[in-house]
Amino acid sequence: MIGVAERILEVKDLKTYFPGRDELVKAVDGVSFEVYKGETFGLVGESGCGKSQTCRSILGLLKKPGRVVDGQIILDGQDITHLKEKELRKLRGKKMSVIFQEPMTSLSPVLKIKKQLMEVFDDTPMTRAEKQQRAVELLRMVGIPSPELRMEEYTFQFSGGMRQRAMIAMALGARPKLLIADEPTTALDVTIQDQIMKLINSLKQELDMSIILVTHDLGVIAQMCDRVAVMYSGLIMEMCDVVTLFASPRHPYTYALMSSLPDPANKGARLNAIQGSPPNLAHLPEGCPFWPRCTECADICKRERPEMREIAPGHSVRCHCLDKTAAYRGIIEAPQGKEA
Amino acid sequence: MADIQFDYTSRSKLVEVKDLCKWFPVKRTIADSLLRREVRYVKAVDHVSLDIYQGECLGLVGESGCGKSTLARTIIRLYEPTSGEILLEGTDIAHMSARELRPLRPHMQMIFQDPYSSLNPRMSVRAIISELLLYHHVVPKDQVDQRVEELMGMCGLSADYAGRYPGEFSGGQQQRVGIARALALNPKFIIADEPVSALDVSIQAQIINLLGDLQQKLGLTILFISHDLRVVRHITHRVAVMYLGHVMELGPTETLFDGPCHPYTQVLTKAAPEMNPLKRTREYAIEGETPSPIHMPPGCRFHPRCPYCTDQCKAEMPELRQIAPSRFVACHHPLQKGAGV
Repeated sequence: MIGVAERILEVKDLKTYFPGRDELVKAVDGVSFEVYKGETFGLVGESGCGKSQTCRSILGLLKKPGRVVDGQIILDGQDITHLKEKELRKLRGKKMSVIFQEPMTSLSPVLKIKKQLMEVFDDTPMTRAEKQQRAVELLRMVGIPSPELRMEEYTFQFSGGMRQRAMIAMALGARPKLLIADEPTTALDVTIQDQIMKLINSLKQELDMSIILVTHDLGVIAQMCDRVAVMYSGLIMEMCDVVTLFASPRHPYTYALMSSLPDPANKGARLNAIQGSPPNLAHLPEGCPFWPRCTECADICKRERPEMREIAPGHSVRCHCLDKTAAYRGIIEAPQGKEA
Repeated sequence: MADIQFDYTSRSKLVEVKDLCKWFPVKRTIADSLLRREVRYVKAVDHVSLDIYQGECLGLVGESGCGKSTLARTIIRLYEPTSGEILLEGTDIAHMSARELRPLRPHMQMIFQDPYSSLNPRMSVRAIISELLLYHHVVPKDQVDQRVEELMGMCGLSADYAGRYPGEFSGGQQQRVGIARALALNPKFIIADEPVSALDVSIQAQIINLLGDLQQKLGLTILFISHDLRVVRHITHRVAVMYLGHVMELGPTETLFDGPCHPYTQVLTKAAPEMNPLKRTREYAIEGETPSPIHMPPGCRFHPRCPYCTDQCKAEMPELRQIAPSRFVACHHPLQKGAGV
């Protein structure tokens, strides 16, 4: 399936650095991946691993002094790495769009929902009445009851779940080909998270778009994604389809993340915590950034940064100790006929 | 930590909460007072009764705004309750004055969600921990430093860090400082309000292990508040499920998760995303959102979202009643009468 599918986005060796007064923070340090048409691609990792900065680099929304210093971003056949803001604006909304974690901070508190939604169509020849009609349709599409009335309200009159729905309506207004969802459900309660995940999934089908889903929650990844990249310290450590990730992870970090989760079958037992904490991005350890916390660490890990290696079709891992990690068992059983 | 067979008959009750209410008045506008409109309240905690046994870890779960933090803060008297009783080892502390409460404070301590904002950035770790030791005179002055180092060691912090400030620590280490502070006075009762929610996944497990070890070693009684059901299931002996200021269900953790009796508990357990990409179909979905706690629905609070709602539910509020040994539910039509208990 993946071999023939069309690429909507290609990121090649992306490097995004934040120069400080006397240190250089390498937020994204050589990230490559592709997103195919109609798939949901997950970026998972802990805070500070560079998943959000990767997205901001793609969108051209990096905060100063952050800068893409190397690499290429190709969206739908067009190189957008060094586009000017004016040109990027033409792409945002139509080709790519974004929803952020906290809708309250990305919506305007002083404009009515109606006004914010109608802005999406500002550079179309639509009349005011048509724009308004489209705005009502958008709100209905994301499941907001009585949209004609609700669009006259302000964001503070909306609940958290409703705000996120409005945000999604805005992001999808111009039918983008790629939606970047940066922790879209993290600020929401579980029952609302469930609703929003279902909404995003059904809209993806309806609008035939691709999604990059950024999250730290492996549960959300399991429920939403087709393929996943696990990030750590600005690098992709492991990339594969979602079933392989949960059934047979091969990177010690992926494995450690999964084994540190509480397991209902093993209630009360000590959890397999990962020792230590993530490294400072300005002072990365030499070699593999994960070695100080890694259980498989060998001498070579401390000296040389491992390269991304494809160990099976569609499954790449960045690790020196692949022979040791071959014995890893994931948290689900591999399905029949699909051995990794 | 959580030995599943937790024997309640042999344990005494450390905290008894009886019919506790905490209502916050809604701010009135001039128009409201001119028109003599009734004072409205946010009923954050509304007629809650529960017992906390010596040495147990009781989980308190629910969605944001359900009143779980307010309940916890009222129990340790950070808030003045509107009505009801709070018995700490038999003494009613619900309406004690601040002065009367002072000698009891060392027995009840709290661990907060955001470790950074709950530590004074201008105080070193040594100062943060020794402040309470000195205030409550629990150890002689010349032994304070020794006790601080002992506490830090207990929480997995090197004593060399005593001179450092909170800003120099990572989130996980800050939470360890918060825990050391909560333990400083040898409390009988600890409230942990979302202690791992602000931490990264790889750090969460470290802190959960630490809390488990400490509970076992010191025989602590913990009220563990969290919205993460996986964590609650792992660490607690019993769980109370709250919705709009009310306890909907209370029971031993395993039986409650395996066979929820309240429809809301069922919704909560099913809504958490399953860690399995092969299991994506949901047999159960919930519509709607939590109503505002100012305009509470009549009858059962959950009825507008409940799939099993009947006329009785719309009219009559169900009381929390016992349906099996140590199993309580506030529902007219519990899902499995006493099943799985």
